[in-house]
Amino acid sequence: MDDAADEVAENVWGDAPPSPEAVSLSRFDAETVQRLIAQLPDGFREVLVLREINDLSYREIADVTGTPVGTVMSRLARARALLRDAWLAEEKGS
Amino acid sequence: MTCEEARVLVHALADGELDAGHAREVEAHVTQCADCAAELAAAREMTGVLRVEPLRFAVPPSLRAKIDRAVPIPAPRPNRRALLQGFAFGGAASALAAASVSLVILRDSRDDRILGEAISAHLRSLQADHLTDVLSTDQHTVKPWFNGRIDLAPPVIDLTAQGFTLIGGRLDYIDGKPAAALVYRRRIHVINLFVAQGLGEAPSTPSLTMMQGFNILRWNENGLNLLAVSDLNREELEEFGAKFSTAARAAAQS
Repeated sequence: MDDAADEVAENVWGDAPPSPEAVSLSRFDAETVQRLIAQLPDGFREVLVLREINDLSYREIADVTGTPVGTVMSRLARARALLRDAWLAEEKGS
Repeated sequence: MTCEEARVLVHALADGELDAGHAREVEAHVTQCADCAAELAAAREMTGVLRVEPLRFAVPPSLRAKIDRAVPIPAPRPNRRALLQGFAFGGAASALAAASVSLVILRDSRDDRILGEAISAHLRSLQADHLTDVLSTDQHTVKPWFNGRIDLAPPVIDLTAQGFTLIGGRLDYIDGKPAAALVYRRRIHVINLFVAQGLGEAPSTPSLTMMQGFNILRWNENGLNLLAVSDLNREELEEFGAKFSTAARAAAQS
């Protein structure tokens, strides 16, 4: 029960100051971010969009994509790493 | 735990998808490992940055239907009346959702004030660290807590199995009237469900309004006025309303 309360409290209060990386991403307009997401390989783009844009849970993503939850988890980690690399490259290029 | 494992699990932790045991392990690991701690911070920040309005769009109905088919929802006990009411509610909710793109809701000033106060109460509950007076996931603990505190018996329904976890209850005030606030959680989103009496002319069918960026679902149940406030997306808030309503009616008839 206390765990549940802590979790909520952490989510409610969990706003850390943004890192330079996050600030740099928020500088990009939505169109650029959409383009970077669109350039991700299919399987990675799919889980990233379902999670971040459509707000689905891992279980829902697993059911929709027909992959195990473990695969969803690892793909999402990889997708975020790829997107981060892409925006760092974009920033360097711009 | 190796860094290789932690690099994946920090994302699940950031998304609130990890069970308590693994969460503790990952949290212990990141206190020892600066690289994995940075990965966790980066995952959280990326999520924050991506969750901005221009990027978000509603799930297309076809995908939503596919999700609903893929994730079976435990049905309430078959009961013809409840079933018919369920259809009526679902129909109204779907019609609302379909029309919502261009939906303009005209309200009088009292309605605006009630909705504004509901949002203020929702915000206060999050900001003042006063989310719950009674902290329990058990509906049989939360419901009796309101005895003697408020002159109505709010329907307290545990919807954990349907994806909305009951986390407690609280006494609040809307439009100068005492209201039972039932607190639910959907992933990281908090839903405050206010149950009160005499809150103006509530619509006969569930009505969804957006105000100050929050979605508010308003409907009547057994003569009580219900107002659900959350930063949750409108589809899921409507789903919450439909599931709550169906379960409350089933409970009232049993």
